[in-house]
Amino acid sequence: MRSYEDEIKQLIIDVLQLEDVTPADIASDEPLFVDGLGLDSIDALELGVAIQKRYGITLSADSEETRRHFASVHALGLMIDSNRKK
Amino acid sequence: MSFKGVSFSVASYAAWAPRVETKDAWLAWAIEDYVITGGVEPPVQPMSAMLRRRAGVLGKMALEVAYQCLGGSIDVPTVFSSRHGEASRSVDLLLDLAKGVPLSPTSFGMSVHNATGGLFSIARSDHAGNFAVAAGDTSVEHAVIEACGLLNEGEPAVLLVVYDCPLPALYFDFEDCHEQPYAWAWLMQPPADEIVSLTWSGALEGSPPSVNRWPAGLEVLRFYLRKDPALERICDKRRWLWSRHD
Repeated sequence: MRSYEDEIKQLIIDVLQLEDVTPADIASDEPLFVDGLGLDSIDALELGVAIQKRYGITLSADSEETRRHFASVHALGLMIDSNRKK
Repeated sequence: MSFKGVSFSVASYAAWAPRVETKDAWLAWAIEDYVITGGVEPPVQPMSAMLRRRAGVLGKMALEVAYQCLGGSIDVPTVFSSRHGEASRSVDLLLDLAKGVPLSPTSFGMSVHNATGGLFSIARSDHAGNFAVAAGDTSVEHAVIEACGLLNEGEPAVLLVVYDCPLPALYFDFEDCHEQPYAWAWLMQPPADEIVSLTWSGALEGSPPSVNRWPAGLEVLRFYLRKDPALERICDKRRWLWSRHD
């Protein structure tokens, strides 16, 4: 599970072009948006597209469930683990 | 009354292009007149990394000169002018669309013509008006007219940002000048000491512009830096005359 979370952290850094951020700087259980890492709504959409491309998972853009999945790297990892198609 | 000309003064200026970064380098460029190439990015230090990451090379060049020219001033209206804007982004998005690949929301958002000016105002929490001009070969002239309109309405100063990049390869056939990467900015004020004027008149007979000429933005910058008395540009069916007088 741990390495899986590292993969997601690297994906976030690459896709969102976070300068000077390393996977070690992102805590798995820290909020990704607003507080914590400080991502915004465009980042959420960008990350959704990246997850679709990499893992074949299509998330609905505006559901309560998606909000929960995007809460943290840990939550994203659990969601990808049980839904990935590639 | 016929509207045929505008006048203003330049309170400060800044320019940036790959390997032409200092004022001395720009003065040398204005005299030697060499072709600017390369895809290096400016640092745009004053902008937070979380916002800066959204801008591409072209946007960063525009932001760099905007910050350099304006300093810490706030409440100054800005006019961003680019002939081609984010053409490279738009082409990439269209190619993705053709392949059925999901589009990057960030790239889509940043491809619109006012995105860079928007980023500049968000980063500085500046509520002053922000204009984005694209008017083909006369984008600089029309941006200057826009800025002078704002000065005429009583604004004490207006920031003009002129920037462009070479076209993406797919559009090479449409090039009508020697495209180069550059950005420059003027903090414009109502005419005071050293006055720059722009006047125009109807189309004249004249030879069509050569494809070997420089982009309009660089021609105007060279006129300004060399302190040439005048620059004539015949394009878009008009004769544009830039002049300088004390």
